[in-house]
Amino acid sequence: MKISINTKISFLIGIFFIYSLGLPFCAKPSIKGYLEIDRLPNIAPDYIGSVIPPNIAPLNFKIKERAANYYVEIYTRKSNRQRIRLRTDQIVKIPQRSWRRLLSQNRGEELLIDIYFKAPDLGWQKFHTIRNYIAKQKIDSHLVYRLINPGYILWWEMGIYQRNIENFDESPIFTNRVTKHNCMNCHSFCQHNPEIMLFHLRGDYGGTMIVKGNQAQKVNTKTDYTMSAGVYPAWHPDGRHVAFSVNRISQSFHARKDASIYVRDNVSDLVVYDTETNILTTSPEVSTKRLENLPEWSPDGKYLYFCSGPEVTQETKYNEYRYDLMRIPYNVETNQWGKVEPVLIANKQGKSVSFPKISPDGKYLLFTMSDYGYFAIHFNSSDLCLLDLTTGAYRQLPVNSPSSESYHSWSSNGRWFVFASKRQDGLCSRLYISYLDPAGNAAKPFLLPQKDPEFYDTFIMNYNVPELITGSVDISRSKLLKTALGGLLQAKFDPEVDVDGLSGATKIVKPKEQ
Amino acid sequence: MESRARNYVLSLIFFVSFLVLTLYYHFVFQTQLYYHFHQPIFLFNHTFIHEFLSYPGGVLELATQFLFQFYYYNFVGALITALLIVGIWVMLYRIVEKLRSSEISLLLSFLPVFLLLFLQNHYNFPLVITFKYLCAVAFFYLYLKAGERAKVILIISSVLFYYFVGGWIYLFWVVLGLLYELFYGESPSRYYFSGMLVGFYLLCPLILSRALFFIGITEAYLYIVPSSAFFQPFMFRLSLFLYLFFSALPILLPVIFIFDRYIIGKPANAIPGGSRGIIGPISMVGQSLLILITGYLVLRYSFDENEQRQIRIDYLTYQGRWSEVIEQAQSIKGYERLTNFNINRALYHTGQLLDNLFAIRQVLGTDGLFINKVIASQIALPASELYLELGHIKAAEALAFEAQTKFRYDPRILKQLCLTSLINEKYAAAQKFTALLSASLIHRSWAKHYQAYIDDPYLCLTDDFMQFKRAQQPQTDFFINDEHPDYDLVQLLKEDPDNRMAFEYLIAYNLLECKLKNVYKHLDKYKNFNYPHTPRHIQETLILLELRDPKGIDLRQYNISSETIERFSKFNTILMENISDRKQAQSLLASEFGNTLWYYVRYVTPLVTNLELKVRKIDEDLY
Repeated sequence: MKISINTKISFLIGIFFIYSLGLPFCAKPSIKGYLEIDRLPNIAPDYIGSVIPPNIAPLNFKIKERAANYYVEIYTRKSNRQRIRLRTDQIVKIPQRSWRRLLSQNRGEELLIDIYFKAPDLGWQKFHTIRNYIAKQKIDSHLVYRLINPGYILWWEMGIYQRNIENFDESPIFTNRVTKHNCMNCHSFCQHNPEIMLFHLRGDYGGTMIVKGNQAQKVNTKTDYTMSAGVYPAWHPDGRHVAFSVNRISQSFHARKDASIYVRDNVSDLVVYDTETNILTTSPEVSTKRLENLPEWSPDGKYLYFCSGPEVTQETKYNEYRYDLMRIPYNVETNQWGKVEPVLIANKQGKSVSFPKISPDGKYLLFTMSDYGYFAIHFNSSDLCLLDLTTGAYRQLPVNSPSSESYHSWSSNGRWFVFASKRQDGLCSRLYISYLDPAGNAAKPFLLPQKDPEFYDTFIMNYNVPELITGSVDISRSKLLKTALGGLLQAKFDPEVDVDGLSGATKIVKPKEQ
Repeated sequence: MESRARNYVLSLIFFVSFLVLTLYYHFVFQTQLYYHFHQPIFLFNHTFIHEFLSYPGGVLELATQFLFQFYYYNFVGALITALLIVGIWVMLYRIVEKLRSSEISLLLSFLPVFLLLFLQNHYNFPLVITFKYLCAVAFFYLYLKAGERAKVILIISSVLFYYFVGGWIYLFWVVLGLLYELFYGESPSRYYFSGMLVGFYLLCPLILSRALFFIGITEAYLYIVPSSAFFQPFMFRLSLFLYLFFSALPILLPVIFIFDRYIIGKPANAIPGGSRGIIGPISMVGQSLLILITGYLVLRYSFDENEQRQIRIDYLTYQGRWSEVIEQAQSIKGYERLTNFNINRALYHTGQLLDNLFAIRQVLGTDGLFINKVIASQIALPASELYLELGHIKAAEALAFEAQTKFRYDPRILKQLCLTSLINEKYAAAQKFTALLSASLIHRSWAKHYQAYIDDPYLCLTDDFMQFKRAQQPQTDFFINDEHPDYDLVQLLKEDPDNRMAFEYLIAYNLLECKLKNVYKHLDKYKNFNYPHTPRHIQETLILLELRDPKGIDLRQYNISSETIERFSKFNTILMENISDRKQAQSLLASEFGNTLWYYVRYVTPLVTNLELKVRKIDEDLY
C-alpha cells in the first residue's frame, strides 16, 4: 500500500513529538566526546563503593562540583535497557520506578554511575565511574527509630517513626504530642516482626506498651522488688517473654571541649517478664552488686547475653567502669537459670562492651566497644566490632569512623545491619546501612537515603535505636492512643524468686555522693 | 450622597484607628519586645514547613510565623498588628451591616475588638489567635454573602478551613454559621445548612484525627495554639476575656436579631445600607469618640508596665546594653527571678557586682545568680549565655541544647549553638546552625557572617571574641556541677586566674550563701584584678568576719574605708537598740542599710526567710 507523503510527515512529526516530551523512560543519547577527569566526583552523601540492597530507595545525591550543566547515567553492564539518563542540576533525584527496576533486575551486578559536567567555555567532561554493588539479598523493608533532639535532660517533642526504606515514606507509629509531651523510648521488636513490639512511656501515662497483632496492653513493670520499671528490652524468640534491665541512671557533662556526656548506671540488674502470666522474675545470678545490663537473647532462646560492669564504688573513677560480655543459660519454660559464663572480658584489654546483638543465624555477635561505659553514642572512641560466636574471636569492623558508632541492629536475613553514627558532624546521629557477607566481612556503609539529598544539612534531630522490621507496623493509631491513655496492668513479681539472694533488685542501692 | 459621606467618614475612622494603633504599638507596646519574647522564625526549609502541615491549625500558624518574623522591626510589627486588628474590625462591621444595617453598627462591631485590644495588650498573647480570628470572620462573611449553592460548596470546603485553622476556630465559625442560619435564615434550607454545619464539625475532626493526623480527640476538636504556649515562659491561659472575645460575635448575632424583630419590629436586613440622612455621619463621629475613649481606657489599664519592663530588661541584656539594664532595674516592681539574674549580669558588666549586689533584692540568694540548679527550658538559654560570658563553653553548649529541645528553631538558641560550636572548633556542627539561619530572611546576614568562619576557620583566629573564649575555656576535664556552680568557678579560675567574671561571681556566690569565710579564702585571687578600691561588699564581709574572729582575719592588705566602718557602727547601734523587736529593727535598717551585706544576712537570705524555688517533681524512671 502506498503511503502518502503527508502521512509520512505526520508520522515523523508524531514520533518527534513523543520523543521531545522527554519521557524519563525513553533513552536519551549519551554524551559523546568528553574529556575524562582522573578522579572520582565529589558527591554527598558518599554513595561510592558500597554494597546496596536491591530494594533500597534511590540513592539521591548532590554533585559537589561546580559546573553549568550536569548529566548522569546510572546503569549496569548486564543490561543497557534499564539505563537511567538524567539531565540534572547539582541535586540528582533518581526516578523511583526506573531505579527499582534497574536494581531488581540486576542483583549481583555492579551499579555504575557516570557523571558528566560542562563548565562554561569548555566541553563535556566526565569523572571516573562510581561503582557500587547490588547485593542479591534484600534488606527488610522498614526501619523504625526514635527521633529526639540533641538535648540530654529535657525533652518536648519526640516520637517513634517507621520509614519504608524501599521508598521515602516516613510515618509516626506514636508521638508524644498526644500524651502531654511525655518521654518515650526503647522500642523493640520480636525477631523483626512488626506485629510484636513494645516501647516505654515515661512520666505522664507512664508504662510499657506491649503490642501483639492488633492488641495493645500497657504494663507497669516496676514492682516492689525492682528498683525501676524495665529499661533496655530484649524479646525472647518465643514472642512471649521479654528480658529487661532495671537501672538507676545518672548523667554528667564534661567540661572539656572534646568530650560530651557521660551516662552511668548507679545500679542495674536483669529481669524477665512473661507477657502471658504478667509475672516478672529474676535470679541472684543476674541481680548482683555488679551492673548487669543490656540483655540480648540467643536466636534459639537458650541463652541470655548481657553486659556486666563492676559495682559502683567511690574509689572507682568514671573512666574505669568497663563492661564485659557475659551470658547465662535460662529456660523460659521451666524458669530455670544456669550459671553466668564469660563470653568476652573486654575489661582486661582496657575496653568496654555494650549493645550486644546476635545475628539471626546465631553465628555472629555485633557489639559496640568503647574505652569505658556503655552509653556509647556519646563516645568518639566507640566502634562496632564483630564477635564470631563459634571461635570466640572478635575484630573491629571497617565501618567505623573517628566519631561514635553505636546502636546497631541486624536485618532478618542476617546480611545487613544498620547502626547510628555521628560521623557527619559529630553532633547528630544518622543511620548507616552495611552489608555483611557470610564470612563476616562488612562492606562500606552508606547513609540512609532521603528524597532530598540536602535533607541532613538542616535536620537537627537524632536518629535513635534503629530497628529493621519485615513490614510496616499496622496497629491502628486510635488503638495505641486508647491504650496509652487508658489503664495500667501491674506486673507481679515472681514469688518463687529467692529475694534474699538478690543484691540489686530488692534494694535500691543509693551510692554515696561522688 | 449621604451614603458617600458616610463611607468617607467610615474610611476615615478606620484609617485614623489604624494610625493610632500603629503609633501605640510602635511607641508604647513596642512590638520588638513582643518579638523578643516569642522569638518567632520562619524558615524556607522543607522540614520546618512540613512540621506545620502535619496537624490541623498548622497552616495558619505557619503563615503567622511568616508575618511575625517581621516584628523584628518595631515599626513593621506595629503596622502588622494594627492592620490585623483594624482588619478584624472592618470585617465585623461588614458582618453587622449585612445582618442589620443600623446607626450603631460601628459600635456593635467594635465590641469584640475592644476585647481583642485587651488580650493583644499582653505579651504572652499568641498572635496566631488574632490572625485565625481574622480568617474566621472573613470566611464567615463569605458565607453570609453566599447563595445556597455556594453555601454548600463553602461547607464542604470547610474541611480545608478546618485543616488551616484547627478545631477551636472551626467551632467558632460553625457556631456563627449555625446562629446565622437559625436566626436569619428564611427558607427551610436553613435547617439543612445547620445540620450540615453541625455534622461537619462533629465528623471532620474525628475522621481526620483517625485517618490522617496523629492527634488526640481533644486536640482535634478544640486546638487553638501550640501546647508550648501554655508553659513557661509564655504561660498563656484560656481566660475569661478570651472566652468573652470568642463569644462576643456569637452573642451579637441573636441579640441583633431579637432587638430588630421584637423590639423595633422590623425584620433584620430591612434597611441594608439605606439612607440615614445627615444623622448617619454625625452618629458615626459620636460612636468614634466613644470608641476612642473606650479604646484608650482598655489599652491604658490593661497594659502591664512591669511586665514590659521585665521583657525589656531581658531584651537589653541580650543586646549587652548593661547600663540601660541597670536603669530599667530601678523601676522594677516585685520580684522575678530571671530579671534578678539579668540585673546581676548587668551589675558585673558595669563593674558594680561587688559594690551593689545587695542594692537588688536577692531574695532567692544564689538561685538568682545561677538559675540552672533546677533545669527548665525557659531558663536554659539565659543560663547558657551566662556560662558563655564566664568562658565555661561546654556548659553554655549543653544548656543551649537543653533550651533547643523545646524551642527547636529559636534563633537566639541557634545562634548560641553556632557560636559555641565555632569556639569548640566543631565546624561541621556549626554549619548545621548557619544552614538553618540562612533559610531565614531576618537572620541570614548573621548566618552569612559566620558561614565565612566555617568556610575559612582562619577567620576565627582573627576574631577577638572567639580567641578570648577559646583561651578562657577549661583545658582540663571535670564534670559540670549544676548543684554547686561555685566548684566550676574555682576550676575556671585555676585554669585562667585572670577570669575576672569567674572571680566576681565566685565571691558573689559565697556572699549570697553567707559563706563569708569562703569569701575570705578566695580573696587570695583578688590581687590579680587591680581593683581601684576594695569593693564595698568585700569591706562589709571583712568587717563582719573581723568582729566574729579578729585573729583569723588580716585586714592590712585591704583598704576598709572609714565610711564603711562608720556605717557598720551605726548599723550595729540600731540593731542593738531594737534587738528585742526584729520587725522594728528590720524596718529601721531597711532604708539606709538595705543595700548592705549586713542587712542581707539578717533579713533577706533564704537561709533566714526559708524562701524556696517551686520545683515540679520529675519522674525518676526516665529511661
